[in-house]
Parts: sequence; C-alpha cells; structure tokens
Amino acid sequence: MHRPHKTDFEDLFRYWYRPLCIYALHYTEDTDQAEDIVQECYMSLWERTSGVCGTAGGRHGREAMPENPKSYLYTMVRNRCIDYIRSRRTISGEGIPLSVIRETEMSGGDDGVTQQGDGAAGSIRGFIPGLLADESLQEDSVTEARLWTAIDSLPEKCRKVFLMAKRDGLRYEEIASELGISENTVRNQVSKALRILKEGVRKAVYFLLGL
Amino acid sequence: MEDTGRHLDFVLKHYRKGALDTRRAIRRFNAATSSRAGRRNPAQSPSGQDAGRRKVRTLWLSVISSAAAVAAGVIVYMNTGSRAWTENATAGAVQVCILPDSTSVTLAPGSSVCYRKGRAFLRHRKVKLEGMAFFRVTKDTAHPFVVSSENAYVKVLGTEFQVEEIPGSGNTTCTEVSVRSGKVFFSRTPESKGLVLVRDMSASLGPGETIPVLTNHAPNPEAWATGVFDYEDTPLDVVLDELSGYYGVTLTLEKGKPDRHLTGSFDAGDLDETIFLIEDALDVEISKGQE
Repeated sequence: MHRPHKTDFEDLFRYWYRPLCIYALHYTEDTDQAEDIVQECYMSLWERTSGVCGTAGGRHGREAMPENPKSYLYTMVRNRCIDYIRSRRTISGEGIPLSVIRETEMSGGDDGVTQQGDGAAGSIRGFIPGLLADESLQEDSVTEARLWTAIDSLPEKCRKVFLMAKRDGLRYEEIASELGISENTVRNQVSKALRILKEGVRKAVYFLLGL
Repeated sequence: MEDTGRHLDFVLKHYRKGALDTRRAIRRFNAATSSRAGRRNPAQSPSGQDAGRRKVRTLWLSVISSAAAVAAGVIVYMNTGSRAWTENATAGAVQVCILPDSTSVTLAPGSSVCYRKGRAFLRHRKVKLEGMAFFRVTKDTAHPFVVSSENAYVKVLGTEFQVEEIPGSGNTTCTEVSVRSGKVFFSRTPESKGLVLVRDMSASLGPGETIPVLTNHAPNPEAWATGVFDYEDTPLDVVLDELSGYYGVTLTLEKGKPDRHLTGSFDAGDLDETIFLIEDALDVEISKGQE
C-alpha cells in the first residue's frame, strides 16, 4: 500500500470537493457548514491514511487508501451531515423529527418516512435527498457542481444580472433601473447566462456517461 | 435535461460568489496538514519576500510573548475552576481547530483559544482568546457565540470574523475586530456600551477606551488565515496598500490610471504572480520596492 501524497489529495479535492459540498448542502442548507464538513472528511481521510495522528483520534499506524476514495468520502460526508443535523436538533430544538433522521440513517432511506410534517419548504427540500437513492443524489451533486462552476465562470456583469433575475427574483425593469441599463440588455444577459449554463450541464452529462 | 431546472433552483438558492472554492479548500487542507506534521507553515514563507517575512514574524513574536504571560493565568484558572475547560494553543504555525459546535477557528502562531468540552460548550458557546484568530461561527441563534479576551467582549450570531489583540508598550493591548460576513457585537464587557459591526466593518478598542471606534481596514485582514485575497470592485490603490503591508514591500503604480478597480481572488503567498495578474488584467505596470 502506498503512502498517500499531498498531490493525491489535491486531485481528490479538484475532482470531488465541490460535488461533495453540494451533496452536503442538500442536508445542511448552509454553505459554510457544508464546506466545513467536507473539509473535516478530507482531513479525517488524510489522518487515517498518512498515519498522522489527529487531535481527535488515538489511532496508531495508518490504513490503506480506500479502493474507491470517492464513495468513501461521499459516505463519510453523509454520515457527518446526519450527525450535524442531529446535534442541531438537540441544541436548538429546530430541524426535522429525529425519527426521520434515524430511519434514514438506518435504512438508507425508504418510503416509510415520507411524511415530512409541516416544516418549512427549505427543510423539506433539504431532507428529501436522504430518502432518495443515494446514487442519484451523488450524480445530482456532480451536475449541480457543474452549474455552480458555470455560474462562477459567467462574465461578471452577466452573472450579476442573472443572479438578480433568477436568484433574487427581481423583474427585468427593476434590474434595468437599478443598474442603469436597458431592459433589452437585461434580457440578453439573462438568456446568454442560461445558454452558457446549459452548455455547462451538457458537459456534465457527457462526463457522467464517460465514467 | 428536464431536471436542469430543479438543479439550477437548488444551486441558485445557495450560490454565493467565492463560496465552495476548491483552491481555497486545498490551501486550508495544506495549512492544517503541514502544521500537524510539524512542518513549516507555507503562509510564513511567501515567495522569498524576506522583508515581508521578517515583519510578519516580529508581529507574531510579539504576540507570542504577550500570550506566554497570560498563559500562566489560564492554567491557574483551569486548575481552580471547572476541569471541563480545554485549551488549544499553537506554537509556530497557523492551525485550524474545530469546536464542538463545528465552528472553525484559525489560530495565528502563538495564539490560543480556551473553551468547554463537549455538550457543555453547546449550551454556553464561550471562547477565551489570546492572540489572533479568525472565526467561522456555526449559526445557532438560540446560543450566541461569545469571544472574550483580556479586555474585550465580542458576541456573534453566526458569522466570519477576526479578533486580534495588538500588544502595545507595557501592559497595554489594543483589540481589533474585523467582520467578513454576518453581524457582531463588540464591547469591553458584556454590560458596557458597544458597537454592532456588519460585513466588511472593523473596529478597535484601545487601552483606556470604553467604547470601540470604527476603523478603516484593508479589504482582507484575514488573508493570513484564508490564504486568499478577494477583491470586488476594489480601488487599485487600496489593493496595492494592502498587498504592500502584507508582504512588507512597497508597490507603486508605474503606468496606468490609479482610479482602476480590481475584481478577483489571489493566492496569498505568491506576490509576483499576483502582481503579474493585476498588471495583465488592468493593463497597468506595478513596481516593487523593499520597504
């Protein structure tokens, strides 16, 4: 078994960091939290495989790199997200019923727990993934990471207009007057953004087929 | 493809420029793993900027000397008070530590945080700080997060911010708080009058002052912790000022209009590359002199 090198980890970050964060985001609904959880998982994998004892574990020696680090990371992220949700619930009494988490965790999700109570739309959305087949969620996260990257790569003005329209829900005329541009320009920028994003996702589909 | 709408909705709901940054995550990972392996901290050796290195080190050394004096007090407190307190201190490198509520604290060399272990912390999110640290606080409105230092009190509700004690002459310490996102209450004691700081604001509390005063801070006071300089439509002179201070050099605009604005994100640690990218993006020329 070879000792993992920093560059192995950098590759793991490049391939899977964003998809893993998006995956975690489905549970946590909070980007900062998702990033922290994913970071901790990479750290934990590093500590296990490099033989460096972490502050948390009294582990000695090191373990082999998992054969499929990707699914190892996905599983670890998922477990930590569930821990996080549970700890939030015990701290603040908010979130979703504990039973849902438990059952989701034990069964890997089944239709016995489809009643979501009357939680906010956000939290329902956040927890449906736990009930879906995990495979498809992983694929979703790759597609969504692609979209995120595509939004990042939009020209700045285009992104600004697009986010105002689609994320903040402003009307074209409101955006036009706020930015001092014509409504037509707003419309053009939004459709340009959508076109670029579609291309970004199509690439993702090919990418998945290629796997 | 009919799913694209659903995916896009989800992404848009959470999208924030600069979030989920893979390069930043790698830097964070490298910083944490190097410090644990006892290696040199990469942030401390930026591209051969000797003058910069020396300057940064003197600042940190002075922090270390002041921390040592108080550490004794902390140990006494820990022995007499509750045994449940735990201390996390750094020696020579930047270190990230995760508190029981998942809050992450990036500690500057020679700094320390002290907090309760386990569940006790979740009920009373109180941290004592010596030195300088950058906090990314987990949101929990029911349990405010409080940072106290020897002479300052900072209360938050889920945010990213930095607290720095700047040792002065004698026994005087000036505390500076910079907020990157969220909302923070900053005062001398929990009871005294204070200031509410929001995104991109900073304030300092000097010795003898009762209420903090607002200060103009550089755009990225926490670059040492995040490993990155983020600029969004920042005037070029402000950018050059900040980079000059961080690297301990003098950057001057040689050719091009000084009223240009810069947007972008640059690795802390590679000044030459940063200069090259800025020159390229804004079509200007920048010269570098030793301070």
